[in-house]
Amino acid sequence: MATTPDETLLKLKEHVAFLLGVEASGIAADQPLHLLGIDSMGFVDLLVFIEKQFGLSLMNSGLSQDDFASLAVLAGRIAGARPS
Amino acid sequence: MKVPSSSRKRYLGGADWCVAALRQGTLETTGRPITFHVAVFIAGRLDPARLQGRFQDYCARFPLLWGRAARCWCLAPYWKSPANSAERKAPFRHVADGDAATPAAVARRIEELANDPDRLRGCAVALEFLQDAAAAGALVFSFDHLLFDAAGAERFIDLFCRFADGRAADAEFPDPQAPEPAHLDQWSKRFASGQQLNRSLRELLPGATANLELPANARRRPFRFRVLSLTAEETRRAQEQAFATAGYLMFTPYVLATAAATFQPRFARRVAPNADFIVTVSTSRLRPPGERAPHVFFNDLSFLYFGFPVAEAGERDELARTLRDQMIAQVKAGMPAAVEDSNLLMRILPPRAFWKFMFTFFRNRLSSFALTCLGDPLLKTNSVLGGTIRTHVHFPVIPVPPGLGLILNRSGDVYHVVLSYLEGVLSEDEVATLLDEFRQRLLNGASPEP
Repeated sequence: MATTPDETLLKLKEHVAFLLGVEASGIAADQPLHLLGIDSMGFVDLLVFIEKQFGLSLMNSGLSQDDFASLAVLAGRIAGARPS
Repeated sequence: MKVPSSSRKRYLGGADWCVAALRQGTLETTGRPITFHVAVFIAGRLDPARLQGRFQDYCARFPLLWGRAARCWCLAPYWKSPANSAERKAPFRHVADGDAATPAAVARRIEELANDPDRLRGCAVALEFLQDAAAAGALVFSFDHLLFDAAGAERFIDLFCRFADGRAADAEFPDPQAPEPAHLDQWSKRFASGQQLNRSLRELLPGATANLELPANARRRPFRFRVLSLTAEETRRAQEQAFATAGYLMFTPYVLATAAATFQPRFARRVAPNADFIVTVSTSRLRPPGERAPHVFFNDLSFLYFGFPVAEAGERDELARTLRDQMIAQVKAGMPAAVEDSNLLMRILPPRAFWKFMFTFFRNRLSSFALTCLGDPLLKTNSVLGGTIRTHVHFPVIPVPPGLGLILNRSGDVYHVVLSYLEGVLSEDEVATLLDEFRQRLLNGASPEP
């Protein structure tokens, strides 16, 4: 499914907001995920969400911390990747 | 869906009933229920009379604190609240003593509270204010696990601190009687979830697993706590090690691998040298979108189960990655929801029967240790009644068997680790060195020391 980085970012923000129990408008797109308050369980859930929503298996793709520098960076990477 | 509701009745969820079963089993075995305590360390002088007044006014807003579990005509368990609580006083005690608020003295006092079977009789929360001769104190909150989990307790304390200072708006108060459906539907789905849980556990470690036996005379043995507080620098190092070893944000699998490697030699001496074991990790339940969140009252818990293959005990980097992969596989397979679903099904049983069933069903495969890694602190307020909140630590009683577990909670930029155990489940010599070893392994990577 082809999506733009903006659409991807919106979906990511909505899911992170759900995980944290806050409004999506309060999620900063330029902060590292660990500073948003996501823990291991939330992070794994986010990875599963990305796999189901965008058809990308990020779990085994050798991601580094740089890929999660922010939701905006992650959205860019997802939008630019081919479904696996 | 319209949820039938009443101001005095709130249906209990699957996690609540699971806690009720564990509570009942622990009560029958040890004579004490599972409670947990949160110590909030304060700098500055608080007025005890004012603290008591504000605490009791705060609690009086929540009649359900004086409630109890009951069963509906339709068999669904529910929390039955009194009509009002305006005249009720939540238990409060003030202790002024020379060194009452030192970390060691607070831990000792919490041991006494945890071993008092009547500590929370009648009210689901109590507060003890320990004040020492210096300008320091500790607020020790005791919670009934039937009504609070760790996250809810932190939110409860956070709101109390702001209420005490007149900084909490009415809109911030949770609706204590928020309706919850009876969940008397989707039986086949819930049954299938139970099957999924059973199969997953059997596939996790097909062979025999190590189980710690309860010590003799469990009713006469106290629950004990040991505390390890990391510094901010140690906390940062531990996180860096976790990210480097298990992957970004994979702190829980890393801590679990570290804990399992620390416990394994002790299990080997007590149970069997080469036995694998299964560890239970409690986690927040991820509610489907649209469900009420965040909560203060009742349990929003679920569990993940990890198989610890003893063959990997010496390869802890590998072990951390194995446990991470198990975590991903379970979340992907929807295990947290399956646990909740199957617990909803089990509400047809009374707590005692559920407890017996739980351990018969799992064939006593779950008696190693329990781990909880709390996420970002929800107690965010940094002052109360003129005192400054320095830090807070969780002290949970772990259900039996085996009554052994670690809980990590973050406060500010440090982690606190509490070892909670029933005396005799490990020897005092084994306990004495356990947290030091855990710290070494946590900070120095997952590779074993020579």
